[in-house]
Amino acid sequence: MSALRGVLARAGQYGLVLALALMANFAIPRLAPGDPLVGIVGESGALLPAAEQRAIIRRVGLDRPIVVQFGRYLGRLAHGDLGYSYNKGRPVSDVIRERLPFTLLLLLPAALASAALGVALGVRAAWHRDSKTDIGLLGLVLGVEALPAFFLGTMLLVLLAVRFPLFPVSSNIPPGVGLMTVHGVGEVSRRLALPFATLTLAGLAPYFLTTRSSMLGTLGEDYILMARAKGCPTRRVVRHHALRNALLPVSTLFSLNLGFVLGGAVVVETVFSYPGMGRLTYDAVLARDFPMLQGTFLVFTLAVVGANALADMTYPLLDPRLRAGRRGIGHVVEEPAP
Amino acid sequence: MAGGIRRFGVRPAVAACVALLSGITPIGSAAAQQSPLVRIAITQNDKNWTPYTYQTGDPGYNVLTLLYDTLLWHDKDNNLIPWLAKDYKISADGRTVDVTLRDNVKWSDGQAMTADDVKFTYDYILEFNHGRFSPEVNGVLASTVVNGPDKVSFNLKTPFAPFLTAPLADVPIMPKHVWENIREVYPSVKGEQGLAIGTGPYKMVEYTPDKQYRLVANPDYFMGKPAAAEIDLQIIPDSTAQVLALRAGEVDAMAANLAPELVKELATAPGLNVLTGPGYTSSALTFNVTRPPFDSVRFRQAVANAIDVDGLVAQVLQGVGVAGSPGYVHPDNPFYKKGLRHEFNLVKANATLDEIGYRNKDSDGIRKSDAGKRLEFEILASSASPIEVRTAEVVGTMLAKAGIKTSVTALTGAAKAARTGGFGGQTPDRDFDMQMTGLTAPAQDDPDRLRTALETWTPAAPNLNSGKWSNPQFDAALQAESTELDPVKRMAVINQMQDIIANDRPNVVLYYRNGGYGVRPAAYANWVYVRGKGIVDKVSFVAPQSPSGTNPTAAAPSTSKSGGSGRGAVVAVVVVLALVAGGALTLRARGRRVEKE
Repeated sequence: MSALRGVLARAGQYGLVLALALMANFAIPRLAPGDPLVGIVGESGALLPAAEQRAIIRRVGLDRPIVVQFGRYLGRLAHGDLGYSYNKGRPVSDVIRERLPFTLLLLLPAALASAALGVALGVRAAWHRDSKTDIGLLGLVLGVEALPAFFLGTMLLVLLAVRFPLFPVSSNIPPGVGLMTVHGVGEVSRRLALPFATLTLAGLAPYFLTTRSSMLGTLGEDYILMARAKGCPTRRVVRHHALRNALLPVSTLFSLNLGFVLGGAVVVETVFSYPGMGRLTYDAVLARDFPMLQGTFLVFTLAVVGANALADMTYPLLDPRLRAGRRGIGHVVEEPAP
Repeated sequence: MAGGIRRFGVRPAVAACVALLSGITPIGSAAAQQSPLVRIAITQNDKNWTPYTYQTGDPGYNVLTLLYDTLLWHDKDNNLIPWLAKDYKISADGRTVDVTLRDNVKWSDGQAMTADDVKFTYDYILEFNHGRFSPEVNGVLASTVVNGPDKVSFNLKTPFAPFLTAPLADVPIMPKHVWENIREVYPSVKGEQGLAIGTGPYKMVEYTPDKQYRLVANPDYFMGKPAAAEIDLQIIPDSTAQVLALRAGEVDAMAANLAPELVKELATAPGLNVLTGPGYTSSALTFNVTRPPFDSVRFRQAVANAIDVDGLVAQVLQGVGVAGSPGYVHPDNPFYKKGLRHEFNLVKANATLDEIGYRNKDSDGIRKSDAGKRLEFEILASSASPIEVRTAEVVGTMLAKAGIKTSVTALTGAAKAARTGGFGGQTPDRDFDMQMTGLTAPAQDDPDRLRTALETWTPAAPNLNSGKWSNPQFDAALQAESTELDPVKRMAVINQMQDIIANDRPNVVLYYRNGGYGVRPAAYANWVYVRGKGIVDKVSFVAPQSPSGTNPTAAAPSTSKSGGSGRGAVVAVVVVLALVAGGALTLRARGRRVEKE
C-alpha cells in the first residue's frame, strides 16, 4: 500500500516539475529582447511598413496577452500539435521527428563511450595511484578537457578529413541514406566517427575524475584488504569488490548527463554540419522561433525528467542498501539520489 | 587529394597507404567542357527559395536568381542588359516603359511564360508587401498593362530614373498559375509550398531541409544551355568547416565571402583558387542622432576625423578591401563622386572637441563636458560577424586617442534589432549610441538605393535609417535624382547627395570588403566575378563566358571523389569500436598483469 502511495507521490512530483518546465519553456523565449519578425519574413522584413509588420505579428497570434497565448499553446499541445515553425516554414513536429533520431544516434553512443572509457581509465589511474600512469592519465584527460569542443573537433577535421582524408568533413548524412542497408550503415558510421570521437573525448573528464576519486575511497576500505589477504585474484578485487562499490556516483553522473546530452552538442553539431537538436535549438533562439523553441525545450524537459526517473528506478538495483523493504535500513529509501 | 598530401610533405608510401585505407583514389582528370556537377557550400536553408520565402540578401537573393528571372539583368561589369525582356523602350516623358518579352520561355513546370505573368507579378508585389520588392514600386508604379502575349507597359506616376535597375532588374517574375491562389504570403501563414517554380537557368528538383538543395540545368534556357548540368547547394553552417570541405574536395565553391586572412591561404592551396574583386557591400559606423552629443554635427565630424579608415583596411581586412568613401558610394561605382575622400586628422578631431566644450579630461584621458559628463559610449556590433566586432574594437582604440572611450557590445540579430529599431512592428525606439551597420551590394548599384539607409524615417515607410538622421536637403536631392532622366544632370544631383552625407555625417563609412570566393577550378572553371557583387550569379553559368579568375594559380586538375565509402566505413567502425573497447581492454590488460605479479 505504502509502495503504491510512494509511486503516486513520485508521479505527482514529476507532474509538477513538468508543469513548471512547460511554463518556463513558454515564458523564457518571450522574455528575450527582439521579435521573431525577421525569422518569419527574412532580412527584408525590416523594410515592411509598420502596419504590415503588426499584421504579421497578429497573424501568428503574438499580439494576444501571454496568458491567452499560453492557453492556446496548451490546447494545441493536448491534441499533440506542436505548432508551425516561423523560421522553417514547416510543422515543428516534422522537424523534430527528423532531427531526434540523428541526435540520439550520435549522442547516446558518445555518452556511453565517454562513461566506459572514463571509468576504465579512472580505475587504472586509481589502482596505480601516484605512479607515472596515474599522473600521465590525469594530465592527458585534463588536457583534453581544457580544449574547447570546437577546437578539438576542428583539429580532428584538419587531421583526419583534410590532411589524411579518411573521413568526410561534413557529417550531414546525405538524403536517402538510411540505416536499413549495409551501405547505409557504412555511410552513416563513416560520417559519425569524428563527431562521435569529439563528443566522447569532450565528455571524458568527469567520468574519469569521479571514478578515480571514488575508487581511491573504496580501495582504502578494510574489505579490500580482506579480499586481498584471503588471496582473491586482483582482477576480481578490482571488478567485484572495488569497482562495483565505486560505480554509484558514476551512475548518478551518467543519468544526470543523459538528460542534457540532447541539447549539449550545439558546437559539435555546428562544426561537423550535423543537423541535430542542439543546432536546431540554437537557430531557433537566434530567429526567435517560439513554436520551435517550445517544441525542442519540451523534448529536453522530457529527457531530463525521464533520465531522473530512470536514475531513481535503477538506484535500488545498483545499491542493495537502497532496496525498499529491507529491514533496518528502510529510511534510506526516502533519501533521493545525491 | 594527391596534391593535398604532397603539400603537407608526407612521403608517397604513406600517401598510398592512406589512399588505400580510405578507399579514395586520386583521379587526374582533364577539365571537362560541360561540368556535370558543381557543389556549393551555403550556411543555411532559405526555405523553398521563392521570392516570398528566401531569407537573406546574400546568398539568399543571389541563389534565387538562379531559379527565377528578372526582365533585365547585368553582365559581368554590372551593366544592365535585357534578359527576360527582349527589348525595352522608355517614353520621352519618362512615364511609360514598354517591354517586349522573349518568345517561347517556359516555367520549370512546363507552362508557357507570358505577359500576364509579368503583370501579375507587379500587381502582386503592390498588393502583398515584400520588404525588398514592394518599396521599389510603391508610389512609383501606377499600372501594368498587357498589350499582347509578349508585350507589357509600365505606367509610372512620375519619371523614375532607377526604374530599370530596380524594379526591372531586381524583381523576379513569378508564375501566375502558382501564385494567384496564394493570398497569405508569410508562413506560418503559408507561402508557396513545394519546390520553387521559375523560368531561370536552373530548376529545383529536390530540397532536403538542413541538408541540401539540388538544382538541375534547364537545357532549353533562352540564354543558352547552362555550363553546369547540376548545382548542389550543401548546407554547412560553420565557415571553418566550409573551408575544410573545400580543401577536402567535398564542395567546389563557397557562396560566402572568405574571411580576409583565408584569401591568401586558399589562393595558394593546391587545386584551389580564390576569385577576388571589388565588393560594394559597405560597413559603416552609424550614429544615433536622437541622442546627445550625437545630435551635434561638429561632434560627429570630430568622431569621423578620429577614425583612420585606411588603418582599418590594413588592420582588420589585411588589405583585402577599400577604405570607405564619406559619400557612401564605392570608388569603383560609376556614380562615385571623384575625389571625395575620408579625412583622417587626429589634430583636427581633438581641436574640434576642444572647441565644442569637451576641453577637460579625466585622469584616464577621457574628455568630459563642462557639466562633467564623460565621453563614454557603447558601440553595438553583430555577434554573428567576427569582423564587425573586431572592427568596432579597433575603431574604439582610434577614438580613445581623441579622448573618447567606447565599449563594444556584441548582440545577436534580434537582440540588436530590438535596440536599434530594426523592426518597427514592436520596437520603434532607438536605444544605442553608435552601431555597426552595412548595406549589401545590390542595395548600392544605384545611389537611389541610399534612401533605404538615409532617407528620413517614418513609421509608415520604415527604412534602415536606424540613427534617425534627417536632412531635408538630402531628401529633396533624392526626390530630384529619382525623377531626373538626363544622366549628366542626374549625376550632378548624386554628387551633391554624396557631399551632404560627407558633411553632415549620419555615419562614418569605414570600408568595403573585397569579395573573395574560394573555388575548385577543376570542378567548374567558368566562374565569373560580377563587379561589386561576387560569383553566385547566373552570369557564372549562362552569359557569354570569359576566362574566370583574377588570381590564376597553377592548379593541378585533381579531384577527389569519395568512391570507396565501404572501406572508409570499415575504418570508421574500427575507430569507433577501438574507442569503446579501449576502456575494457585497458582494464583487462591491467588485470592480467596484476595477476602475474
